[in-house]
Amino acid sequence: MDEQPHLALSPEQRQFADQLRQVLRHRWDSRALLSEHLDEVPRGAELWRQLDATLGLAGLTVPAEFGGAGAGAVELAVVSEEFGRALCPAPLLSTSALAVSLLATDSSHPDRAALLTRIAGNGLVAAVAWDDVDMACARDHGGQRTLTGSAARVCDGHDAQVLLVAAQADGDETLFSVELDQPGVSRRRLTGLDRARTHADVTLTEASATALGPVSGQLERALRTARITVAADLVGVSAQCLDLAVAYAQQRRQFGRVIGSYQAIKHRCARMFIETEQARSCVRDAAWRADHCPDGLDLAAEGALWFAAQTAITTSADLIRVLGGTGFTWEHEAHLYFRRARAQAVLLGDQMRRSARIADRLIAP
Amino acid sequence: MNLTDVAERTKAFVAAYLLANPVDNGTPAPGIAEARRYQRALHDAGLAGLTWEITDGGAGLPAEAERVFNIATAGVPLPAAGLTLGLKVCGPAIRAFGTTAQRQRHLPATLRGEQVWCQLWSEPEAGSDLAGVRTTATPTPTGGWTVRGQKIWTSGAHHADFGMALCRTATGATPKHQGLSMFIVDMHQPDVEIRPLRQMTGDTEFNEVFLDEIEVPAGHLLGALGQGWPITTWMMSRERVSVGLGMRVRQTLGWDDLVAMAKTSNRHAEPAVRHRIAEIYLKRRAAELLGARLAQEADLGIGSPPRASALKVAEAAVIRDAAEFAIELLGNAATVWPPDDPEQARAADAVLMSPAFAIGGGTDDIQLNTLAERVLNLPHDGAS
Repeated sequence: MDEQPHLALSPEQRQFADQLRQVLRHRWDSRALLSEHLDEVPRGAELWRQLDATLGLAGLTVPAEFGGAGAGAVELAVVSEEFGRALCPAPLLSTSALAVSLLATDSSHPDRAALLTRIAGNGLVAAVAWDDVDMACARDHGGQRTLTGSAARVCDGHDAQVLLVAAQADGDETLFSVELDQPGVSRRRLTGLDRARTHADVTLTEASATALGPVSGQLERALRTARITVAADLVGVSAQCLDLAVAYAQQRRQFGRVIGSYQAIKHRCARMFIETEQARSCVRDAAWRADHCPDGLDLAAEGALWFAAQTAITTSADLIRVLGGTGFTWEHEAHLYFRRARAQAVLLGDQMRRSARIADRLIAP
Repeated sequence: MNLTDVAERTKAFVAAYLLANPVDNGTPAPGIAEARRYQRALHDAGLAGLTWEITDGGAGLPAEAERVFNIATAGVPLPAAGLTLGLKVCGPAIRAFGTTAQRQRHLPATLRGEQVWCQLWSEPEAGSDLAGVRTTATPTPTGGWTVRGQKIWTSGAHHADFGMALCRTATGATPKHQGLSMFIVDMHQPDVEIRPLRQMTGDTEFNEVFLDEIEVPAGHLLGALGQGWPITTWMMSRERVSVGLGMRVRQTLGWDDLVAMAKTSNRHAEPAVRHRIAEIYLKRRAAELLGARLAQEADLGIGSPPRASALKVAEAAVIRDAAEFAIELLGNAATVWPPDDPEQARAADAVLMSPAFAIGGGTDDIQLNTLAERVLNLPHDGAS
């Protein structure tokens, strides 16, 4: 019997989401992202370890045999939606989605297993360079592998302790891990449209590296998990924009009436709701398929990201419209959501090419 | 019967039915007579009313059975659309609010395709403001009711056996929603006059219905006296889900139709065409997944029923987009065709039908109000 995707969360999953939302409310104030000294705001590794202390999030997706919670894509999406809602900058995408997915595909490799254990046990932050990589492998005088080259705009690359990057070695596309606290590594922190994510250019000069075996096909798989994770984050962005718009519309008065009593505002909010609920349904479908049924998974993941990104772009702009001038000020956090929506829509490739790839699946040449 | 039996029996039934009633693009849309025959056959195969109680003529299975059936029949052109209102809205309302006698009188017969239903709700002066209905029901000395009034936009009244009539039973009630009651009306009785209305498509699917002092016997009041409005909103939420899910059955174009049209017109390599098809596919998929999720969450008791309005608005938008795009894709060939080739009129039919989906069952604008007020807790219009 074919099974239909489960699109409703179980009571346990809903309880987990509620708990996470409350913890985030106490542990992370997104208004910190408005600081003039953003570099001093604890975002990546430090926040990750604080959250791990309460919720054990670091090992969320790490298989149980390496000390993790062994959660699947559905739980990862639940966490990511709450992170998006809270604009939480902890490295869920780079470490729990991308790095763990890459490492766990061949966890019989002892060095991969060791990294998974460090992620779950020590809150290790691992970043993955997936494009704009120019990396060459060599051996040093002692026969150890070294990497020389650059990886541009590495997500969470500034806070990470380990970088996972692919390079040619002995004729094979090979995955390497590089400890970033060593002399051959230089990093330049970048300024981002999305103030909640840190990126860095990473340059390696004969940096020692550990070969983790062939990477063929694994990166694509990891990116698929990343698409679902980013799509879920964008649903959280939209959901929070809707909540902020509704809350404002319920109390702001003009012409002697609450503005939420005007259909111009009500209908805008209702449309935000419709699109957000559709996006959330697409993410649940893709996440469930990732855990249970590979049929149609690629299309579901690309489609969920496309829809969630379109939705977040419009809902975050809608929020600013409902707020009026207040929404365009630095002090109101609306722009943080607007920034995150726009940046995440292209984080894993742009929407135009995404829809072109989807068309290629639907329409044979 | 367990769930595996349902899946197997459904597949066998569908195969046998399609073998006996082949469908191709030239087959005219199924009429109500065919829908009744189909429903009877479904009933005889033990597959009607899967989740209804056995005493109501159903199979007494859990909600999952319905989903199994839907998966097994997905994409199969079955002629059940004309019966949807009875099976998905009016029948369930009788299950939820009806007396034992009403259940026995209507539910098994509805499952056999012998009772087709309509909703006598809108009136010339009560459209979007439905609670303003003026049709009255006044008690008779024998315990029954006399109903006087005029209904309009009644889909399927011309082939319905029974109607659910929303009537005013207390004049001057404030708010006006409180003076309403729901009655089960026999559509074949004298003094029920049905005048078809011709739609902008040229078809006639909806009607004016004149209720000229018709007699409604005791025992045909659904629920309690004065409970008409809560029953109406309950039925509306059901209707929005089933109208939403049923919207694709006729005169609408799927993304696969659009792909076929793009290929026929040799435009399938154009980037703009490919982009639009992908966009329509993704929006339709998002609407379908929302529908599936709302149904699953309703089974689990999560979320509020008025959320169904979201599905209807989303479906209406993508139906319109697909029809508009088909005309652009085919150009003049979609707007001018030989009289003996109805297949070429498909895009024109679809575009002419598309405004209906944003009106029927409550306009998009009213759905947005419903979402804003009942889901998002924004104030009523004009509230200060």
